[in-house]
Amino acid sequence: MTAPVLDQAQRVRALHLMREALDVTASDRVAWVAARCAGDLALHAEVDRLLALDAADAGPLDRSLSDHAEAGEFAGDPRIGRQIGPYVIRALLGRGGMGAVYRAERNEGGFTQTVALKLLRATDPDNTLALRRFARERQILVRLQHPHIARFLDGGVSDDGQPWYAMELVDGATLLRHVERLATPLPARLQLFMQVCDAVQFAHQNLVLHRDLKPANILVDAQGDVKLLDFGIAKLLQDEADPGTHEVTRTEHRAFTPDYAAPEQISGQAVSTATDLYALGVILFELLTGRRPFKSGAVPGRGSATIDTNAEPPSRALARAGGERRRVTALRGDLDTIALTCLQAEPARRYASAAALKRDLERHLAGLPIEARPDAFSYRSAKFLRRHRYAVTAGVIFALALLVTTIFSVQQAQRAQRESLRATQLAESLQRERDAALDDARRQETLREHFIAVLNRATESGESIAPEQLLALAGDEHLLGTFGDSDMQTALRLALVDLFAQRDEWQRVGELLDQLEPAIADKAGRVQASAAAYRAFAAIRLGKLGDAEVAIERAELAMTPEQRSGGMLPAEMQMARAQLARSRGDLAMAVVAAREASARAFAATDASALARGRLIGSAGTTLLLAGELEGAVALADQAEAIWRSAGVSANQSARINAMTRANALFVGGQLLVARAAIDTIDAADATTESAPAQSARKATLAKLLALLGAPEAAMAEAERAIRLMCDSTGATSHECLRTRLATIDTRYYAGDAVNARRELDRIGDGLAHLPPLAAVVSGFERVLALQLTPNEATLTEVLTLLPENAKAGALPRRNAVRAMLMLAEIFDRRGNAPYAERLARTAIDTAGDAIRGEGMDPSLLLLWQARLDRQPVPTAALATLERAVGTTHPLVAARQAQAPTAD
Amino acid sequence: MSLDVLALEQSLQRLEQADPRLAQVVELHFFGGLSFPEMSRVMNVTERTLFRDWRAARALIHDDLSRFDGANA
Repeated sequence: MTAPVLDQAQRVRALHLMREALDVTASDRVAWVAARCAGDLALHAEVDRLLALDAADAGPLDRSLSDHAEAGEFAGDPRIGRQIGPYVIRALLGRGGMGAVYRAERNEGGFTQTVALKLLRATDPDNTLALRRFARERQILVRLQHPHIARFLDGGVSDDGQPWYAMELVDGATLLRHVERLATPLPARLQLFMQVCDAVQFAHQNLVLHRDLKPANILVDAQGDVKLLDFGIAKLLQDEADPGTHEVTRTEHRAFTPDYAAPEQISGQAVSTATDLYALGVILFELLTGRRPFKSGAVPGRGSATIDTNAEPPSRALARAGGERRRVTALRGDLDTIALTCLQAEPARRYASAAALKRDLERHLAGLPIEARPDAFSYRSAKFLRRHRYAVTAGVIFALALLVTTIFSVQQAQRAQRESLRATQLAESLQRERDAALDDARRQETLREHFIAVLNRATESGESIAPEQLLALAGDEHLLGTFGDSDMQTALRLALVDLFAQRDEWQRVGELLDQLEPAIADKAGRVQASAAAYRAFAAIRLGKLGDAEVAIERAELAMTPEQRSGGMLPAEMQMARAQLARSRGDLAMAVVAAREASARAFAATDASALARGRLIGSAGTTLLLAGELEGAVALADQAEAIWRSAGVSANQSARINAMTRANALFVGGQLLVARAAIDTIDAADATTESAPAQSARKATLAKLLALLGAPEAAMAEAERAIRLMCDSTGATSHECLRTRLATIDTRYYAGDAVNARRELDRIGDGLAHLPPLAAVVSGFERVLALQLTPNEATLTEVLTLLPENAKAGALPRRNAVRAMLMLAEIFDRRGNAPYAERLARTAIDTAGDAIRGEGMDPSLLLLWQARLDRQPVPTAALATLERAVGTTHPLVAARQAQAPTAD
Repeated sequence: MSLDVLALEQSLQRLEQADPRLAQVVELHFFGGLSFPEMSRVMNVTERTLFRDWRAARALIHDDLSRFDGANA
């Protein structure tokens, strides 16, 4: 019978009808199909044919794949024996969603090399998505050269156009079979597992998520070395928001292995490095106990009913399974905690990295206390988060308000930097900084020539010229066209692109690149790589994340080996990835990338101290915004040191960098040190600093002073901040309103809630035009309501809202905790101990173990904890508080009276 | 009743274009060895629906495979 000719839509429709028809009783079916096909004969015939096929005898799909394999029935694979590149295919090893892996051999000079060769599955040439995925996997593997990751050897395209690549063929057993067969003792099992951690950490540092970690993908070779396999569904950070997102998502859904998949992966939410950490937890559990943490019937995280199911401790699982008492005891405690930390339902509660997990295992093996802590809070918080997801989203905005000064001043300072560039400095900094970007002396000449021409033109009239006019001249096609040499042209235009990038004029960067890109298609790889890098940054700033990702990939491909091996460009590409991750809300990934970027910039030899320091400083800003305060301070210090040793400390980025450091100290609660840092900045020459940047710093200083118990000085700075901003940007500008909003908590920290309420009322109308800040305003309103009208209702509102806000991330958590601690102090001073203690208790619960260190907030948490436990004042915590806020601070004085005296 | 891997792959791709879920069911059930209850959990689709999907996918693929044999014969 000839199949009727159908178009795709009919084919799909026939499939649907056929499936529905299966539910209709056989006797009614003929009539039912006829009615539904309504005279469409081709469709009718197809549905009938499908139904007939359904009823037909057994076919190949009715036997399991393993039956086929055992029967050796994979006949007909015409690839066996074929030559692909230098390899001859010998046998099928396995088949994945995307391609098949073969054992293949290469004969050369009497020496036979056996490899694992992966071919894209037979595909129609239009299937570009599959081709892209395959190319991506290859690209990922090239990037991942690590002793514990199966090595990439070679790749190419076969004669008939099929892409392939060859990998190291690992001769060994899977991890679990290996340890079972050899009855490997526990410490050796942990050593093997730590090798897996190394491999995963390495992948993460290269911004690759594996997403399908399981024992079958981990082999142990004859030398006892672990090899991680199959990055088939691995993903690069930049994969999200792909034009083909839903296909990629679909792949995710069918590709991962349910038993090892994290709850967020199963429910289709965003995956991150924490997703791989979860899978590592399952593998560790299995290595420890020989069984999986969840029975197959109770996969956690699917739907809403089972997400709360935390795994039982490995020791208990082993005991229940009748394990020897000695082995059970070995697991109890540390190893239970470590495994369960990985298996937390809430990603943020797992280890921060595979390296951290490995470190805890090392500590355990060395008999040291581990860093993870058993924690029952996460269970509650996961539930809470789910119940209040909407509120949490709103909370992000509110939390930003509490910290509005910090983030605000970073942004202001960045904006101010471009505003304060004056005409002469512009030409200077161009020469100095472009020198570093262009390694070719001729290009420097070109640039200098060009700017002499620009400046000549600019000064013709004899009047002073605004930077914008100067820039317009610099980009003037007539002036640009003076150079005939196309290399010089390219160099000049790239330098202009860089100039506009420094000034955050990303729209113009994009326009210049539009002109430049077609002209450099035949230029050297490094030129194309730089252009693609600028394109990536511009696209991120303009919110075109998909374009950014494409540009990053293009830059990767175009980079020369010298560039790749440690120049400044890879550092910049990592920074682009960090910003991309930040734009997508993946702060964990942003931090990983930013750290990597700063490490590369630190080691780069082809860039000036100025450029290296600047990149390290901006990595510090990324860390600050992700709440990695110590890291932010360390990077700011590093940038400063690089500049100082090169004698370029007084550069345009130095003040921003110093402010990143001060803000990190402020957020971390080291108030005295933060204040000293701001005083130092204030003492430096500020002639080139814009009013908005000064205003932002004053607003931070005001908040600091209020917290340091200097209300008058705080209010004076707050008023100054407002005046500076509102005078320069206008009383109705958004910047003015934001600055006034940022002083609300300063006012009530300074003890004047009435005044804060009044100020909020005054700016209320203006804020109504700024809907994004509406949530901020309502947040402040609740905190003020509690202070002005303390009753059960207003207290409950605060105790509900602030912990919700805290779930949004590290900075919001710190904000919420600080706000509650300060409210606790306020009520304690008022003699309302019950309210104070409830606020403090919630602050402690909200902080969990996320807020530690030397600052005001962690020491207050310890002091309140002791008080709630009716213990004496812990002297160490009190000493920390003294260092953070000073010995005469009211917070200290109030407690010194109760502290046990040493003498 | 031997299994022609190459033909199966091509058929699967055609199926994927017509209805991705059907292809997914084949991947999970045939290649992945997942049972219908397991697939139901992973895909959040009722077992009954998945069973109908499987029958439809099976019908199409067996059709394709038999035709491919014919073409080679």
